[in-house]
Amino acid sequence: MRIMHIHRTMYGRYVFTMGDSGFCRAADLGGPLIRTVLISLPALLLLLSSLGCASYVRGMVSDPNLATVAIDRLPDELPQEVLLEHSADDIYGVFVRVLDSRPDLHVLTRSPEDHLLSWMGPAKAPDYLGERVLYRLKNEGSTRYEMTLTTIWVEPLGQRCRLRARRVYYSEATLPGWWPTRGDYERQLYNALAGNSGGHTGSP
Amino acid sequence: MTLWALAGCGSPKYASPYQSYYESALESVRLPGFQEISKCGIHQLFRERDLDTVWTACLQIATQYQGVLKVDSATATERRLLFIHGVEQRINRTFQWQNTGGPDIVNRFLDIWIVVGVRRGKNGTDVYVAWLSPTGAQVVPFPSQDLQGSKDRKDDIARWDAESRHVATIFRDHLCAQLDGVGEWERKYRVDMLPSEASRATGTRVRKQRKLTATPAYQELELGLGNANSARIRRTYPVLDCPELLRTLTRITEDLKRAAEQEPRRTRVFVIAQSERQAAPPARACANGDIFVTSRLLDHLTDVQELAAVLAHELDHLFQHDVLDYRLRQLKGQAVFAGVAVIGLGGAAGCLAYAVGATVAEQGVAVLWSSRPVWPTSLGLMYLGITTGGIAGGLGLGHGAGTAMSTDYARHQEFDADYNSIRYLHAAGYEPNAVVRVLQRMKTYRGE
Repeated sequence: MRIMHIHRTMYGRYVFTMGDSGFCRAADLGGPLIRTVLISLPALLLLLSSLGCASYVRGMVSDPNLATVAIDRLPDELPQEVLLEHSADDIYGVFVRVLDSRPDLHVLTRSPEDHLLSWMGPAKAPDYLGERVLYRLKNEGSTRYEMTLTTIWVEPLGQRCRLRARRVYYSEATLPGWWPTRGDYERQLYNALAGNSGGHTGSP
Repeated sequence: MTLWALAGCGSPKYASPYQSYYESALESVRLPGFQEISKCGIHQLFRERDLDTVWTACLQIATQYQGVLKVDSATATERRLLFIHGVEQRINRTFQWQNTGGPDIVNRFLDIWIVVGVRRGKNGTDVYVAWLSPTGAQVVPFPSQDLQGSKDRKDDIARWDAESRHVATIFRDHLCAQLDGVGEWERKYRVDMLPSEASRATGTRVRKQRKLTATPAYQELELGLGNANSARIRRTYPVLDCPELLRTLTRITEDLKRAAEQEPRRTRVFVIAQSERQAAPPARACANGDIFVTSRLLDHLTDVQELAAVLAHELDHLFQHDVLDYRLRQLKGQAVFAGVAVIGLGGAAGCLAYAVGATVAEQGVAVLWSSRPVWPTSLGLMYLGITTGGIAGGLGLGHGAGTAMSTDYARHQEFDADYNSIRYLHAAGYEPNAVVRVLQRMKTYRGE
């Protein structure tokens, strides 16, 4: 016996109690509307939930600056700036010479008065993005628009100077928009300059 | 966020309004003339400030944004600057800090090009801040309905259009904090007002999570959280150049650390510019020892005693490892949500398998292709399981993602920080009553 009891209600609908096999016929519910809702709603909800969660996770992964999976991976602190025991002209001249020797970099700003430089260059996907994002970058995204924007400002402080560097990434395809780096480039730059010139990193 | 995810509204694909410029590697970027900028930009006059000082402050702030595209400082009376500012677009709230509770996910990064013109005037230096249209032909934003392109493209431009003035105003406020605020704060919080006598703090409350920090794994987690949070704050709010004020803040911090006699912690103090249009906690201690004090807080406080009270409070959060405690509570919450999600979705899958199996057993395989579904009860149970699992999973995702970067403290942690800070202040020779004054000021601060 599959259906134990079927009752007709005052509204003309049937109600049911479950039989020994654990299910009953949908037709016994007494209306196509309820049947349609009972069948289509869970399937729709399952589909929408899958789509929503997938796109939600995709949105998180596509923003590596704020993706939760990458938050705990920041190995060292982000450097802010570096004080160098050299004049601003000397440090600025070093960057100008480097830029002149790199034809793959497109100089955007070259201001000797302000000791400010900015340039665009090819992007190398940082390791912290994770294998999934790197795979998408390699296989799905167009590499034409992946680039970095780097800004260098050397502020004169008497015989010394203070260097500030910023680098951001841009990608059109899978990681749209500008987003800041985790400081890897800045840290390497500061360490190299501080090591050669005897300066120190950190806030003043 | 959860409802958004369950409803299937996919993460909106965002394309930068300046995409055509990026495609051409910014070859065709044009720096607008000063007349264009001054005609449409937000104006700010800095009285009795020379051009070089204001220009240096502009560079000081602008170089902490995403990047500088163009600079023109060739003339002696006028200078211009074009830089990129990134706006983090959140699902539920925009331009708000994370400690207001609930999920707070950044799902896209909107770039806005800000152009600044600085000119020497009769009474000082005039600064104009405007935003550059993605068309490149004009400085002011243009009507979105005139745009060509798809609906998504128009939506992106409309969103950019709405945010641009906001961003330009924030830059102006940051500039004012650097040029007007720093001098005022250095006069208000003078070094000669600091006490010289100190003793040892007694009767402080110590919580159990301090024992955890002896474990290397927890130390690494705490340091990573602190570094990430500190970097995030410094990316969001420009750090102000105020060496004298930093010396005062550092001295107060060292006084309090010495009097507290807690475990040694390396601390660094930063003063960050905060616009009134930006919601942020007035002070924040990161787990790596970085302490941030906002410009708005410095505007609200009246003397160095109140400043010491704020620092003592933040120092106690460091001593008690409250950030680590918060992170551990967060992980526990995620584990609970994940468990419920697995049970719910697993139950739904079980119901489905049971219904299919029972149907096939009784009526044959052909019934699966029949136009009359035969297992509504199981579908009902599936519905319940999917709903429970989906909501729990979504809550877990939102809970984890939305709070990962924030450091909301529990109420008892805040009470203990106030309790202990009074003892630190007393031992270091500062006024313990300053804690009460600061708490009263915070009501005003948050009520604005």
